[in-house]
Amino acid sequence: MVDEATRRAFLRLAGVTSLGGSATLLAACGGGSGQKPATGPATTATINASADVDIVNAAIDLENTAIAAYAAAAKLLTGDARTVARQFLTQEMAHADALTTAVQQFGGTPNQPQSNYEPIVGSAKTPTAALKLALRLENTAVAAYVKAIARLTDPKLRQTIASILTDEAEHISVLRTQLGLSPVPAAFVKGGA
Amino acid sequence: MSGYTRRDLALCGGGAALGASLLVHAPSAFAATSSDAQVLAHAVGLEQVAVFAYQSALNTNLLDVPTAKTFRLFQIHEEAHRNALLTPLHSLGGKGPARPTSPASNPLLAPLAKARTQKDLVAFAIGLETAIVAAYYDAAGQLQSPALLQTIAEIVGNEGQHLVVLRTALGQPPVPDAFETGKPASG
Repeated sequence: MVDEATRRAFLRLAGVTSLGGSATLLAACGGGSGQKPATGPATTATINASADVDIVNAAIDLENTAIAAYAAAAKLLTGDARTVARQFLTQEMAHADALTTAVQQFGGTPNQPQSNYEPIVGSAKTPTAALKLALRLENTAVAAYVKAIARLTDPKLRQTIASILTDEAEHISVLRTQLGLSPVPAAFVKGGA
Repeated sequence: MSGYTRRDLALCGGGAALGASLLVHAPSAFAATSSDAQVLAHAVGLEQVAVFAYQSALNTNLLDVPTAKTFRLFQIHEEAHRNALLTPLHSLGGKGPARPTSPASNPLLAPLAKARTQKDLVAFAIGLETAIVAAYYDAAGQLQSPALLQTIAEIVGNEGQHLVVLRTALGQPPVPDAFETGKPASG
């Protein structure tokens, strides 16, 4: 885990909490979140939608962190590595946009980027450090998405997360190659939160 | 493999009235169903096709040593996927389809007969892996069991990583799209 904000986003996606029974857990289970049903009493549909919104909002947080990391990495890297970082930055932005649209379609309020990601990305001051940070964030995201896909109730959202998860797994392969590691180290991609 | 044992159910059920209500009213979201067995059987069939395909490619002697090593690794992965899916399929009372015995066994294997070069075989593998990704993308919307959803998530990520290596071998962009669906529309 790379920082507290990313750790919290991961936990919300995974549906676990270090405190047990905290507001984080309640949010992931459909209660205690900032998301409210549009009107009327809570129904199964609105509860499910609220839970899905919470999960997707946590995903947005992870995507925004990755965006900040790749933006910073693009300034440190050169040549093909910079080209890749820029491409992955564009893809993470596409993920964030898609997830933001999904939250809006479910009547929720999409999470916004933090005002400052320097505490997360500032520690990576060399090209290698930037690649390692990106790899850690991608692994965190994959681990969270693997858990999240089992929690989402909406089939289309699960498909969206699956397509993003696969893309992040592909990013991992490229980053691992750039770091001199095996691109496909295991038969099951679990990430590494 | 994912060791899901309805932890979410227990945590949510013990945590809040809303969570308990969700569980009462949506029990199907927490249990494998007969349709899950159908989806699993289809996935097992595809994994068996992939195992056969990689072995057939290895048998051609068209592959150089590094590529053969890669194909062998990917074949091992596909076999692991197949085995991981077969166990829950049997638990659901399902039965895996027969393994392919020739390229004629499945339309996905048809390009094998026309392969004359290593490049042909890598291109074939890309097409096959893409089709498998598409099947798992569909499965993500069809499966009901959280444990199975987690398993296929772990598998589809691996198939995507196979694609990165195969595309790179052919000089293609390793990650051409932001959303890897395996569908033509994503490209």
